[in-house]
Amino acid sequence: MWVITKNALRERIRRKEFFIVVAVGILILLLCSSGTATITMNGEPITGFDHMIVVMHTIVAAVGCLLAAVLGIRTIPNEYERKDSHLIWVRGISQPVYHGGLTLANMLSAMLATGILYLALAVYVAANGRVDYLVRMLPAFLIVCIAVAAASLFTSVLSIVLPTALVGVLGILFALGGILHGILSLYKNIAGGVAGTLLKGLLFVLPDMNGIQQQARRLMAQEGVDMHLILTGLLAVYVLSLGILVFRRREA
Amino acid sequence: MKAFHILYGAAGVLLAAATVLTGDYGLSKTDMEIYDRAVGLENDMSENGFLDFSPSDYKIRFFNGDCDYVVADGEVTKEDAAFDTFVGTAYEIDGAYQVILPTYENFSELFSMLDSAQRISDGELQFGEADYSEDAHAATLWHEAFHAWQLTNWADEVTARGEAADISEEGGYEQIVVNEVDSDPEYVLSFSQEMELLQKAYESDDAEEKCRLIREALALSAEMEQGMSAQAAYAARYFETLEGSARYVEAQAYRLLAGEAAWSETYMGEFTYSNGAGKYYAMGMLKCLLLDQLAPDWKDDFTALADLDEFLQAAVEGR
Repeated sequence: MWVITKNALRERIRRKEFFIVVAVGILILLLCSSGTATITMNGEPITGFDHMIVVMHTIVAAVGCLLAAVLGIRTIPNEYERKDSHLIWVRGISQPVYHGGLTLANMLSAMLATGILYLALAVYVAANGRVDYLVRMLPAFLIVCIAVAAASLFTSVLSIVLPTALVGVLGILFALGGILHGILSLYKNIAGGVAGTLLKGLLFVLPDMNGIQQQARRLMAQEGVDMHLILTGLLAVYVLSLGILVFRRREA
Repeated sequence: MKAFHILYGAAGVLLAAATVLTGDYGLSKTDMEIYDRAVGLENDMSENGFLDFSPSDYKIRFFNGDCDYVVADGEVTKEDAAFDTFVGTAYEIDGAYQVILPTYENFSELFSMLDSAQRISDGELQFGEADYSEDAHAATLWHEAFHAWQLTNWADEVTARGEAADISEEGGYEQIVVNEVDSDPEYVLSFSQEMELLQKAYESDDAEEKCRLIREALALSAEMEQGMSAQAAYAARYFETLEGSARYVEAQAYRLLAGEAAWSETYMGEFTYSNGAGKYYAMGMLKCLLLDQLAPDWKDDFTALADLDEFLQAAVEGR
C-alpha cells in the first residue's frame, strides 16, 4: 500500500493545481502580513498580531481544505483511465487497499501543501517574535490536518463511484460548506422553515472545518480548546474513511 | 485482515464514545449566569418599578439553534424549540406568555455576522467583533419579559384596538409606518423636532423650562397625529407605548448592570429619526425617562393601553 501511496504522492505534488494554490495562498499571506491589504475590524485597521493571526490562520485552513478537495477529484479516476489499475489487480491487491493507498496520497499531498502555508505563517509568527505561538504550531497544524483530511477523503471516496465532474462540484461544496459552517449555522436560524430544516440536515453531516481551525488557533494562543469539535472532526474523518472499505469500482 | 477490521471498528466505537462524552449539553454557563444576573436585579428594579412585574414570573426559553432550554423556578429543562429562528419575543405557550431568546452565544455571533455583512456591503473589507455584551443580553431579557407582562395583562385589549384600527398582523404595524410615515417629509421634520425638544427637556435642570419644552413637544405631537391616518396614528402610539416602555425597562436594567457611562453611550445617543419602528422605541423610552423626573409614581397607573403623551400632559399640568 505504501508503494501505491508513494507513487501517487509524487504525482500529486507535481500537479500544477498544487503549486498554483500554494503560491496564491502564500501571496495572500504575504499581502496580509505586509499591511498592504486593507482589512479592518470594528473600524480599526488590522495590523496587530492578535488580529492578523486570526485572519491568516483562517486563510491557511481554507486554502488547505479547498486544495484537498481539488487534489482528490481525479486521482482514482485517472488510475483507471490509464489502466494502471490492471497492474494492481495482477498483483492480487484488493480494491480497498488500492483506493486506500491513493486516498492517503491525496491526504498527504494536501497536508503537505497546508504544511507549506503553515511554514509561511511560522515565518510571520517568528518575525513578530511570538515564540509562545511558534512552539504550539505543530500540534495546531495537526488539528488543521483533520479538516484537510475530511475534505480530501470526501472527494477521494466519492471519486470511486461518481463521475469526475459531479465529484468536483460536490467536493468543492463540501469544503466550502465546512469552511462556512459557522455562518451557515447562523443562517439556518435566520432562514427558518424548509430552508432552515434542509440546512440543519446538511450541517449535521458537514464537519465544522472552520470550528476545527479555530481550535487550532486557540491552541496556539493558549486559549481554551473545545475538544468536542476536534473529536467530531476526527469522527467525520473516520466515517468517511469507511467509504474506502464500502465503495467498489465496477470496471475493476 | 480480520484483526485490522476489529481494531478499526473498536477505534470507531471509542471515537464515537469520546465525541459523545465531550459534548456540551444543556444551557451554557454563560447563559445561566446571564439569567441569574437579570433576575438578580429584581429588587433594585422593583423599588420604583411597574406593579406586579417581575421577569422570574415567566418561563425564559433560551433557543440554542436546535432546541429551547427553559428556565423556570431555578430549574432548566430541554424542550422542542418554540420557533426555529432567532427571535427575541414573548409568546403564548400552553396558555401562558413565555420569553423566547436566542442563547447569548448565538445572538452575539449573529450580531457580529450582520455587522460584518453590513460593512462589507458598504464596500469595505471589515469584520466586526461582537458588540453585544452579556449585560446587553440580560437587559434584553428584561425587555422581552416586560412584553410578557404586558401581554399577560392586556393582550386581548391590545389586539382589539389593533383590529379596530384595521391592523391585524404583527408586521402590519411597521409596514404602515414605513409606507405612510417615513415617506412624509413634514412628519419626519416634526418628529425630529419633537424628539429634540423632549431631549432638551430631559437634560434641563430648570423645572419651568422643562415643562415649557414638553408642552411644546406635546403640541407638535398632537398636530402630527391630526395629519395622520387613524391607522398610522395608532401604529405610532402602539410602538411608543408597548415598545418604548419595554425599551425603557431594558435600559434601566442595563444601567444597573453596566453603569451610567455604558448606559448613556448605548441608549442616550439614539434620539434621531430612523425609518421603521425603531424611532418610536427611543421616543417612548425618552417619555418614560421624563415621567420619572416629573411624576415618579407614573408606573402605578401604566397599562399596555396607556398614552404616554397623556401621562406627560398630566405631569406638566400638575406643576
